[in-house]
Amino acid sequence: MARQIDINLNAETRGFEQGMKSSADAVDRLDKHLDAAEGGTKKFDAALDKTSDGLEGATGKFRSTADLAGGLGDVLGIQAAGPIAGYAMGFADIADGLGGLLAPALQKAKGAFVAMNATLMANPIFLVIAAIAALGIAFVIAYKKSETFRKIVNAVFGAVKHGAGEFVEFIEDAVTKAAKVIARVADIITTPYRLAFKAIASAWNATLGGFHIGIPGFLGFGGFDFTIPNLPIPALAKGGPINGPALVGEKGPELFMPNSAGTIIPNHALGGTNVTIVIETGAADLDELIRKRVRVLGNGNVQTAFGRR
Amino acid sequence: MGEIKWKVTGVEELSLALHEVAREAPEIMDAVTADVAAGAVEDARRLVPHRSGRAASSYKSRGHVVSIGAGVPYVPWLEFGGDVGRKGATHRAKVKGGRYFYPSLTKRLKDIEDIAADMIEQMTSIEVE
Repeated sequence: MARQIDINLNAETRGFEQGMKSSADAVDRLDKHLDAAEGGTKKFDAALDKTSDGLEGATGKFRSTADLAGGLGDVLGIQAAGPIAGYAMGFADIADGLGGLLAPALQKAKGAFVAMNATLMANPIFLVIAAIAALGIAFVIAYKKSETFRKIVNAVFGAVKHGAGEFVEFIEDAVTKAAKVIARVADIITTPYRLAFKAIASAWNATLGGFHIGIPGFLGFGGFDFTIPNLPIPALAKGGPINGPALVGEKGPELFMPNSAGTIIPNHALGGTNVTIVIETGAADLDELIRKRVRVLGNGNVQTAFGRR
Repeated sequence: MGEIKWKVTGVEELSLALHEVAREAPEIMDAVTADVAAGAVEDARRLVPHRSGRAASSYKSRGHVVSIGAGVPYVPWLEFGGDVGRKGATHRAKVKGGRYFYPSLTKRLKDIEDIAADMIEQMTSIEVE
């Protein structure tokens, strides 16, 4: 049996450096993602304004919708919105040639907008749905009523040769695509928060959370090891009680079941539609913070430094 | 009309802080683990049975390295148990996780976990306004 045991506590902490670097790299990627998304949001906002203000003319309506979809694509950084933007531009070209033919349909679309309450109007998700639905209404009506329009449509959209029925499917498909895109918009808005939270949790779990102590077999006890458990930020994909911050939705939608009565404050009562996610970085000098607490405040002792005794 | 504007602030600062910490990590961990080692040894010494005090004094830390039982050959037996003596006649129940140092170390590491969580909270807080 070994008569002396030597334990190097630092041997298992070398992942810290790499873990923090990985986290920093992940945050760098997040930053780039956000830069692109915020830029896109500006276009998106501008397009929303144009859409709401531009109901007078068919061309403006369609072009602003194209901008809207284009802005959406920028927000998402994906191609999914591209076809929608393309469709809208195609409609705009058609509208240019049709003059006032679409006016009645657009009035109907305008009515649809007016019918929506302020809450919905403030929500880009509903606006996009409404805009695309309005396009569908206008397009189908015009297609059904106007032989000229049908000819133009068939000329512009050479692939579409089989009448309004397929166009309805086409529009429905566009709406379906839009819904998917919209789902991603909601996801994008919440993603930075979730990603940042995950980055922190991962930083922990890749470093101190993964602190691993091994007891070698040569001591004659068969050898074993244990790992310090991960940071207690609960991920609730498997459900469970919650009494503080928790990572939710990481594996799809989850249901929060409160243990006591409460009140849901509707979105429109939240007082504004500006969303700012603030990541406070209070310790650009985290290492300095640690040193200060350990070596100065604690006179070299971690327990004292952190007020635990 | 209403519009939703959203922005995220502080990401660049967070990135810089993390890179800085990554650069300083080895030194940070040296300091922290050295303190853990010293604390765990101190705790273990209080738990080790005292007769002459030799066993307890063989629990030593130097930086982040802990040495147990140097010059006191029965210390691993005290810590983990086993059968020793002629034909293994002296029995002490085996405790796989150890009796003194390793439980102390585990407790100290748990404290460090809490401390690190505190520090992470200090380093970064996220608010949605």
